[in-house]
Amino acid sequence: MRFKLLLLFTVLVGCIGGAFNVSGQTLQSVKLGWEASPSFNVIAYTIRYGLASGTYSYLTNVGNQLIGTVNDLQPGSRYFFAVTAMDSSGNESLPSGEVSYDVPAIPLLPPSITLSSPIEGDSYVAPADVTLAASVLDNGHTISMVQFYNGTNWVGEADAPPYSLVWSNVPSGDYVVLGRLVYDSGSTVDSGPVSLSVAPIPLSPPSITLSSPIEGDSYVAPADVTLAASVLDNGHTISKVQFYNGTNWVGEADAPPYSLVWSNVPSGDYVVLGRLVYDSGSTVDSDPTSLSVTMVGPPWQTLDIGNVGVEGSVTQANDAFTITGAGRIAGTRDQFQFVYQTLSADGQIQAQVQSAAGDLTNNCSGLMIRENLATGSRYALVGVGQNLALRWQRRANTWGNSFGTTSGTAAPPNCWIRLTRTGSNISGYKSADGTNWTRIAGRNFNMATNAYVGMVVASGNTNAATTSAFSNVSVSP
Amino acid sequence: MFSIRSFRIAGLALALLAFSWLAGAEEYSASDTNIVSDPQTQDDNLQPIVPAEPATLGAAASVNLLQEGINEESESDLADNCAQTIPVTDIAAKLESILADGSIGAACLRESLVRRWATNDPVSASSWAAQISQSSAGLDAVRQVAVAWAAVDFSAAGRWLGQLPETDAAKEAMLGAAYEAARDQPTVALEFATGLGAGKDRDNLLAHAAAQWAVLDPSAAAGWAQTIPHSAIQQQVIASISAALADTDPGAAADLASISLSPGEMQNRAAVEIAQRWAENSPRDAAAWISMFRVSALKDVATQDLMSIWTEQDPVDAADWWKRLPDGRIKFDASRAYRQALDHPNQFSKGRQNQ
Repeated sequence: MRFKLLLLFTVLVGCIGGAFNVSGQTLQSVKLGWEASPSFNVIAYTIRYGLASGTYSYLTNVGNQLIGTVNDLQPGSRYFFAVTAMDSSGNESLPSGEVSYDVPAIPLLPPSITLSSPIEGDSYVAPADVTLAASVLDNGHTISMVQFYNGTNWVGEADAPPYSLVWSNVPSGDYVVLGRLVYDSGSTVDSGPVSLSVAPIPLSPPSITLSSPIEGDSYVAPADVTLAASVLDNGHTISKVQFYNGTNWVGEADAPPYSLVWSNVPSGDYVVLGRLVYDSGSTVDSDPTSLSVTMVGPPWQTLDIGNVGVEGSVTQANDAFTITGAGRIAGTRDQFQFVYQTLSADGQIQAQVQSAAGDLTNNCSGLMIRENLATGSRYALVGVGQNLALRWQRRANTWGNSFGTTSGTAAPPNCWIRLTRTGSNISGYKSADGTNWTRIAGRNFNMATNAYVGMVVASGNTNAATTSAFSNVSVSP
Repeated sequence: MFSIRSFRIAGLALALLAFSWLAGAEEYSASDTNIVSDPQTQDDNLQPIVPAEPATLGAAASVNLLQEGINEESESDLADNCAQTIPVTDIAAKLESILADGSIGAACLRESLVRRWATNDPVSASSWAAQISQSSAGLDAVRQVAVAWAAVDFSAAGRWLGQLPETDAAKEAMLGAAYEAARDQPTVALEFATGLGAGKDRDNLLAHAAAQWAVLDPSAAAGWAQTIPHSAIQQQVIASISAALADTDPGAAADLASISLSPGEMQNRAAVEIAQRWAENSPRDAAAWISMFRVSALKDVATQDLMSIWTEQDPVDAADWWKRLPDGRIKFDASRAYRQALDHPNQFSKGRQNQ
């Protein structure tokens, strides 16, 4: 019994009876139809099929139907089909004519790509280094590379996992980046776009540094102190530089070189700073700088020896000094204004007395070598005293009495005086012209090696001061 | 010549000593005090500063004038000489005999006697001074004993002063004693000074004693100064040491001042003092050091001092140096100081004296 097998149609039933994956493929079905067997006693048909012609390894009983469906066919394979009929006695006919069917292969899903960096909305600061990285699912495809794009502009590519690179020095702006996966023979698939922003470089605030004075600078009063600042604008608009003494405004400069002269600064310790005003009124301060203004310049120092009722003062102009002092240099203790420096062993001080005020007993304006700064110290003195008498005076013993003598009359400014220490001897001299000198007196002192030498002014009264002037002051210390 | 007041002193001495002593006193005043007559003012002939009416002054008035220091130079020498002739064992009796005398001569003699007594028998002298310490003469005596005793035994003098009522006079005496000790025993004075309360007295004593120590043992003094907690007083002490050290080792002094002093007034002063002393010993080396200063007022001053000292020593060499300076402020300062030194020579140069 032979009959004609008619292939009616094939239907891809991807998931009939539940799809399962075999090597990533979905199994398929085919529906067959055939003409009825001419035999009258047929009760059932069987579809026999296999992967080789004439060899039917599989069968499906379909009953007394003229159509049947064969499931679970392997995609991409060629199957060969035939139908047999069975009569009521159980006899099976020979197979029908054979038909074949190529089960179509299921196409592969495309690979996929997702940017893992940056993340949507990420923000950076220029110049930014942005890491571009992609996660790839190959779906059975051959991955060639991942290309990264800034919009349509190629940025770079990575041909192997982890498919990442660093996009360097990205300037400020808004960007949309994507990854493009290149696979198989040049096919591509893009990731979703990711937006990122790179903010512009924030402007650093401007900076200001005082270039003058320098920390620790010292001046002599009344001082003219140059205040100057170095400014780095860092792109800002500089309005001006203000200079402050502590919290007190001193002055300001609105253009380079940002400097001014702070004039007539009296003696004292000061802390100054520069305040930079920029943009719309923002300010930044320099570091503070300490300076001192002293009544006298180095190496001179000033001190009221003993207890005076009126504080002494000094002004200096190079080697000229105007000294105001109260007190008396007498008896066992002294009070006077001392403008001095240290004296090591031998040495000398010399000066021209420009003026010597005061007509009281124990008034004196002169030069002194003094063992220490206590009121009862040993000392030797040459100077101009009451009624312009040239005077030599000394205290040979600590807390001892003072003794003195006079040697004529001075006529300032034609009056020069000098004290010289050589070994233990201290001698006083006078001169009318600074050239021809006459020794007034001298004495041996048991005085410490390191002593003090300088100018003295004592009014003769502890509660009233007088002023004397010296010039051409020189010391060999 | 001998003044009327000298004769008053001599008269007092006469009462205490033999008549024959007066001639010796007059000779002493002329030869040992180094008071040389001024040949240009022969008539002045070293006039003593004479009280207005010495012959009519009472005791109180005389003491007052003494406190004002109106005394003749030779007067004290006369008193000193007189005191030297009195045996130590007789000093107490002599002092008692003139204690009530308010004259200048008596005060001078008391001072000399107390000093001599305290030097030779401080225990007896201090005991006597303590007994009369409530009087004006007693306060003078306490100070004189303290100073004289401290010169030989500061600790003993200190212990004695510590037993006296704590008065300003006692404090003054103690401070004077410390200064006296500082001359030869600076570490003793420093130890005392460190125990004083903060203030000008303490700071000045510290700086003074440290400078004396620097003469005796520079490295020890400098090392000790470094141990003082950083403060104004540490800076003052180091500045003082560096100035003292500069006389013998200016290079070391310069290092000390550069490293251990903070920029500012103290360092500036020390720098000039070192430059001065260095210039006295080696102006070329000093010039090299000063050349390293940044242009500033400090450099101006140091250059001027250098030139003054150098010109005194060797004007040719000094001129050679400043003329090679580049034009500018420093050269101007140097040339001005050079000319000034030529116009008004100081006539004193350690460098020249050491040659």
